[in-house]
Amino acid sequence: MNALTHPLTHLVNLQSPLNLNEYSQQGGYLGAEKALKEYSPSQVLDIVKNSQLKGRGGAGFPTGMKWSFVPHYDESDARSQDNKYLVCNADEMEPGTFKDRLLLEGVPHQLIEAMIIAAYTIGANKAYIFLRGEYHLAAKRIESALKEAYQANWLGENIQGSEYQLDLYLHTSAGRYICGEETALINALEGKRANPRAKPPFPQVAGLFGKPTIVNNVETLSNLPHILKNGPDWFINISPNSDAGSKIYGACGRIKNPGLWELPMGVTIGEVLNTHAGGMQDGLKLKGLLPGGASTDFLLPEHLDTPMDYDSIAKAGSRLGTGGLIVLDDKNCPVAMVLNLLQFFAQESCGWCTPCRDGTPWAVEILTRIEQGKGTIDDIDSLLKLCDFMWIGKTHCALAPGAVEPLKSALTYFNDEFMQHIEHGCCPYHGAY
Amino acid sequence: MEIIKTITVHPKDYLTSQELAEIDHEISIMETREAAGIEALKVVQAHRGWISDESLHVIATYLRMSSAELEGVATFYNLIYRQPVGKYVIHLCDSVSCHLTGYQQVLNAIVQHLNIGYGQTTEDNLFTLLSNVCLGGCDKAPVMMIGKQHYEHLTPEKAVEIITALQNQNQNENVEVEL
Amino acid sequence: MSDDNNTPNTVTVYIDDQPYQVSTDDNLLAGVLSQKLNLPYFCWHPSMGSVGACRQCAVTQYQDENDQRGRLVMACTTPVTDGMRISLKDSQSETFREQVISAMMTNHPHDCPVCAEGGECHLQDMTVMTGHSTREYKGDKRTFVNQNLGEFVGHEMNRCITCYRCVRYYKDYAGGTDFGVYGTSNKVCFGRQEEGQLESEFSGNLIEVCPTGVFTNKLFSAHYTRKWDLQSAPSICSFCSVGCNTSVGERYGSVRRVMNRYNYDINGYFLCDKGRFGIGFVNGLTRIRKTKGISPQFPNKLSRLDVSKALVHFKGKHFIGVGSARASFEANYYLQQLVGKKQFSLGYSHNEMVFAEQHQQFLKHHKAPSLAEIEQSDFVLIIDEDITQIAPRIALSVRQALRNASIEQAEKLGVPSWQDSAVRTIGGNTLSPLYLLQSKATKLDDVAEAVILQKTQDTIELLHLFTTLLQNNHELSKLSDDNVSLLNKLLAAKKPLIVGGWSHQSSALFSATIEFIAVLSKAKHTLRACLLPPEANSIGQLALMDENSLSIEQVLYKVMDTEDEIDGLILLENDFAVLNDAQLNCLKETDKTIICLDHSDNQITALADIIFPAAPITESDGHLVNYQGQIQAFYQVHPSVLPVQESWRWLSLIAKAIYPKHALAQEVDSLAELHQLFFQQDANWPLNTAANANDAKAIKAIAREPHRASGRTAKMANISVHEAKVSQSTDNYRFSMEGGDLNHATEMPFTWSPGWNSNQSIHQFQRKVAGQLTHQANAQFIDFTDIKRVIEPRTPLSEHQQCFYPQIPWHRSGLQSSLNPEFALLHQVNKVFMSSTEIAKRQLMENHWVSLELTAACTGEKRQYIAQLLLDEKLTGDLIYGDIDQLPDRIYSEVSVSIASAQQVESYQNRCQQLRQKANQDKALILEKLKVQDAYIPIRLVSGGLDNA
Ligand SMILES: Cc1cc2nc3c(=O)[nH]c(=O)nc-3n(C[C@H](O)[C@H](O)[C@H](O)COP(=O)(O)O)c2cc1C
Ligand code: SF4
Ligand code: FES
Repeated sequence: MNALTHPLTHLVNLQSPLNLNEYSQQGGYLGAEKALKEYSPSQVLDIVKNSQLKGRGGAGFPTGMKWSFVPHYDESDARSQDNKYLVCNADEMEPGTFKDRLLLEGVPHQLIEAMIIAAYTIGANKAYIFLRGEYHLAAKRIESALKEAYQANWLGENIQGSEYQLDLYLHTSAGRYICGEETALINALEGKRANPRAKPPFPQVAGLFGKPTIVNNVETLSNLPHILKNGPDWFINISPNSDAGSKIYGACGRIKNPGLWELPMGVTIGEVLNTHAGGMQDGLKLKGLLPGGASTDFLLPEHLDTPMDYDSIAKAGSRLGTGGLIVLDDKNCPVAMVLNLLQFFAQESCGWCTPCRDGTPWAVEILTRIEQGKGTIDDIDSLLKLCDFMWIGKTHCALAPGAVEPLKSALTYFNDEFMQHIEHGCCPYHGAY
Repeated sequence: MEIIKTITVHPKDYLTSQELAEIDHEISIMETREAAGIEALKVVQAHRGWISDESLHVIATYLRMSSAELEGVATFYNLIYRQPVGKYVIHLCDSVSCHLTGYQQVLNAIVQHLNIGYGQTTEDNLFTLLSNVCLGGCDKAPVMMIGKQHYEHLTPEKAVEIITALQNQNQNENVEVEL
Repeated sequence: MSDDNNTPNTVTVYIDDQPYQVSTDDNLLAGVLSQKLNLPYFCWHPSMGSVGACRQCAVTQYQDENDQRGRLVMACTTPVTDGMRISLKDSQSETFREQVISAMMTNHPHDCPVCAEGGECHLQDMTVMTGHSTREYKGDKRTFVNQNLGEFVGHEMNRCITCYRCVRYYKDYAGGTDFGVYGTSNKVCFGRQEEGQLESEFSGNLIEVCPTGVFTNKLFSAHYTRKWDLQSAPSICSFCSVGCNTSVGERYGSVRRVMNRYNYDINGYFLCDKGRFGIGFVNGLTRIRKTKGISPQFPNKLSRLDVSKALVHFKGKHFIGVGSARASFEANYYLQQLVGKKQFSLGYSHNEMVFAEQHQQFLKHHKAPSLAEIEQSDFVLIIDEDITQIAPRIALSVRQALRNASIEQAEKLGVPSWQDSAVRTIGGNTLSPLYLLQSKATKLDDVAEAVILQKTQDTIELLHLFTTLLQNNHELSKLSDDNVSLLNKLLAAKKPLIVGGWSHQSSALFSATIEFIAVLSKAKHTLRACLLPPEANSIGQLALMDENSLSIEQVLYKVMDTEDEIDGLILLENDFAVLNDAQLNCLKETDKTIICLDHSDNQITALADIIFPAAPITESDGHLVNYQGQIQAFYQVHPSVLPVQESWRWLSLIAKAIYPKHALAQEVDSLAELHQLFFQQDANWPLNTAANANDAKAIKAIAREPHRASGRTAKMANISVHEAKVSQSTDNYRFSMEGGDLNHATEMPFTWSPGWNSNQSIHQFQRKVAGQLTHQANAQFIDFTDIKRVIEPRTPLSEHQQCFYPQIPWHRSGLQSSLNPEFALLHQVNKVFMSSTEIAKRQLMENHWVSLELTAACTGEKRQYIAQLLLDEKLTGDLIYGDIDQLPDRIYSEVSVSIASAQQVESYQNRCQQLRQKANQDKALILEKLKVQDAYIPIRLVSGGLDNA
């Protein structure tokens, strides 16, 4: 493990994260220093664009391009001093996803350094870390890292003697998965109900308090110091595959060695599952998996050779999402698993748009009946209709389509299991667990 | 008959100076006063365990927003308690990895041990049991959170052990745990 | 937004391959509906714009002719673009729209039979429209606890389909703070934070805004009837000078409810609660239903002969006529003509005459803006007038105007004004500037850039200062910062608006205001100004004012003067609220004859020798003139039960008996005939009868009842099984379901169109959604002529004497308000507000009970009140204001405040308690009487009376 092969995690220390001095001794804050001292914001923007960094929050949108939508810094506008915001999305609540927690608890200074670079680039003088409420340890560690950073003049006025000023604050949230959706997050940060906003306007143009705002995921941002230090080509070359950089992959479920691993973008599912996670626990077989968190489509054992990059996973019929494998074994009921997922989405729906608010609970009602052996063949049809009803373009945000992904793929791949429940009037897995 | 409807409590009389200081800090880092609403609710909850109607009114007044607006916020977020809770709030993760690794058995054990269901508080006001979405400990599932502490790799036995320890601790020394 | 659908902003849109010309000023949903095509929707509202929540309005959009698949878009959040192709009929969008309804129905309780919305429910309409007809969901439904939201609005949360319209309306549109949305997922609910009376003056619109039966009209539900069984007529709200258009519904001779009647220029889609819930006065316990001072020949029947006989005694005698701003324009005119201009009073005190005259001259030169125009303002200055109480609907429009700053910001980013949530995201809390120069706190304070609280005298001085500054371009050093920025912003604004009014009864304030506006409008041609008089026909009165008009003081003087040849007074719907006790005593003592025409008992009818029962607005045809001088017609909702009849009919009887030689002493059977008569007499009579008569022929009769009115033949079966002859009407509307197509109605009794049973059907009658109505007759305005006399202010009560400023809430102003027991229940407790220095100076304590002694400036009469003392942090100095029940509307020159004794407080509380009890009893009694009355249909036909053949 070293800075060049494992840029994101080589400094992670979960027991006691590096303090500012230790972090700096290991090459920390060099990226930020370079950005502030050697480059203009637009030069940093070019570097980030050239690195082909894509967002690690789930959608994989190119980071540099996103930043370029922010209206240009205008010196003649007096208000432009504080009229842009950077927000780090540390709301990680996607079931089966726990990668950001590693970075937040293990190397908080890396994120702060990253945010200085990002904020400098877009011309923001205020930035927030939007942290989910349950990550208490992360909150404590970030708070103390922030204090150090202020003391060392990495935050505040005239950072390291430059003209640049940045205030970085930690906001701890009070729950709700929807807060991870970037516009809902902005509402939450404004102290409002976290319903996603209508787009346009996109946050890059009118976000937090109506000002241009960039929201980026923890992992996305954490790459920045390294890209600045080592250059975009290095970043692209970490991965021999089509997507640039490294990625923190995870795996959970009844496998031998659940955990997180920073690997080059595009390793295969099989490599993550078998090489790193040690394969299935004894006596269990792989039945299927969600490749990137709860809101991705199931894949099957036959997909183990699929590289875990955005395009390949999409070709296989799913989404890379957050890169966290959720592994279903052969003694867990797929119907029950889908029911659990849908319960999650139904409960976490913000309640704004009809398909999601009333569609997800309806799916739960049907799945509950099927799981209890009280389903009918018509119910499958109803579920398929509901999948259609909540699909992309029909809802206000991506939560409900995310709920459809595991449901719809399960109806395809695990059709037999659904039918068994209906035909036998009970769950065939009962007692198998 | 209620002729004088609301005897208005002045926020400065109701909130402690510590609470006020913490809320003021949140206000200072936001562009508007209302933006500090969630944090203010969390501050008061941290000190008082939950948000009573009175607390809600006072915070709203202090932030110069309506109680209705703040209630809309308070009821949106699941970590704001609008009902009294026990000293320890158990948040048991019921999301998919914990589901796959058997949180249900853990739940049954807790329910049996404490004799309460989701949303209920034990008679001694020590424990409230709530479900929680994925706690981000999927590699160490099943997990739960009590107060600020996460407990991982749970089994039914281990969960009961943890709770018993808290019960004992509370009986013997009445120590304040970080909540 | 321009109104006409054929503006250059129109482009071609292909809807199911047919080309349509659609305006680009609004979204695609509005565009589709403007073509009179059916497309269901919920969360969008023509006045509140789009948020894309319900997903009901989905259509399929195609890239070009070759695109076979298309993609779903929400019409309400999609802009209209040239050449765009969409389909409403393709199976993709049709299926989806049906699914949206079926998803909503998973929790909707299917309780239509007991739901007050049944038969006019937008959800029912949309359910049918999408073809959803079977229950699919098999699970349990979620349930909520309902709240008691006070006197007017019912709450049944289980019916909610979560379209968010209510909260968007109440909070975002109307600025209410005691209403919100709570919870998440499918457990979202709407209401107050805790039970209690809704505080907004506009809460009643929730009933119309909610597409289902969550919010219902409690007063209507208490004496309920289905929409299709209501008989309705177009009417005008008689509560204030705005003149909102209403649709009043009745059944079996009792008025049941008021609904908004769309008028593009005035009320648009919304009414205030006074107009909606105040109509109960026509069913009140103190209605006058018999004549007094006239004995009928036959025991139960009053004939025209009886009236003539009784009045013949006064033939040729001299009467002074006193009109009122509550009575119709026609009745006032008629009375003025009969008694002669020199014997006519408008009902104004001398003081009021002074500024009434100024107002009249002002209107000659400044056209007051419509509400639609008010909403376009980008700067608003309100001069010492609590418009939320005096003309609530205008306050609602001012709130909309303040959003223009946000809308402008959004437009800079290419976001159109109808993208409501996007505009709010961009605009945040940005508001166009509103400046308030007030002597008391008002409901608009929360959206004001600055509230300058000061005594009226200081406002007058400030206005003079502004005026001289404008005239002489002096430096602004004499002004405070707030006042400087006020003036700067006013001068910088593109469409500034100034609002003032009569409530201070101060001619000095009025003339200072007018002077300021006059000077300013030279510099700013776009300036709009609007001065608000107190009553529904106040401006109609101004049209009758001339150099001869008598003030109330002159009237009283003449009555008291034994030398004067005056034999009596004819009071037209005037309860003489302006009189002080001494003046009232004079009237009591006079031996002159007092003839009253009124609909309800009041302090004057108690003194009257002869009383003619006048029909209230719901039983009358006539016109009222609003604050702009616009003349608007109202029609009988149901025939009055004789001897109750319109004042102008009584005046015609009076004319024949007392003034038989007068040209207007003629039999008139209809308002149209009356107009003709007036016109023959006076070419300046503004209501052009010839045109009207043609109109009357052109327009087929219009039914007051919907086609589905049930039980027509059985209606009176308890009395007679023979089908009764329907009551004849004398206007264009029929008291039956026989009548022409609603499409041709300029004034619709109710709105309905096939497939659209709810009030949403109005877009079927608009040229384009939220635009002018089709076949809307041109608005007609009074032309004010020059008058010769300038009335001199008589040693005015100088304003600086005024030391206490009463707040008069909307539910307590005027006789008609006082007749609604529900309104009495809205009063909570007397309150007086002072500054902290004043509280300290007077050694009082905040939040404590005080005893307040007020001395009326004019008479020195003192009155004592108990009130709660509250601190107003914005107040400085010795300005004191308060909300005191049963406080006569006067100028008070002295105020003393002391801590109230426990005894005083207790007796005050007991009195309040008693008043509440009384109000509750009255409420129950009225309801009981009305329900009993349903069994004895008291329509004209079966009632007997005045020569009813
Ligand atoms: C329902 C929902 C939940 C989301 N939750 C998260 C989250 O917890 N963390 C996150 O980084 N992004 C989350 N996203 C994605 C964000 O909306 C956004 O795309 C992301 O923060 C952008 O950052 P990136 O460009 O760095 O990936 C979520 C999206 C949706 C629709
Ligand atoms: S899909 Fe709709 S209801 Fe669901 S979370 Fe998104 S906006 Fe809210
Ligand atoms: S009306 Fe268009 S989404 Fe609701």
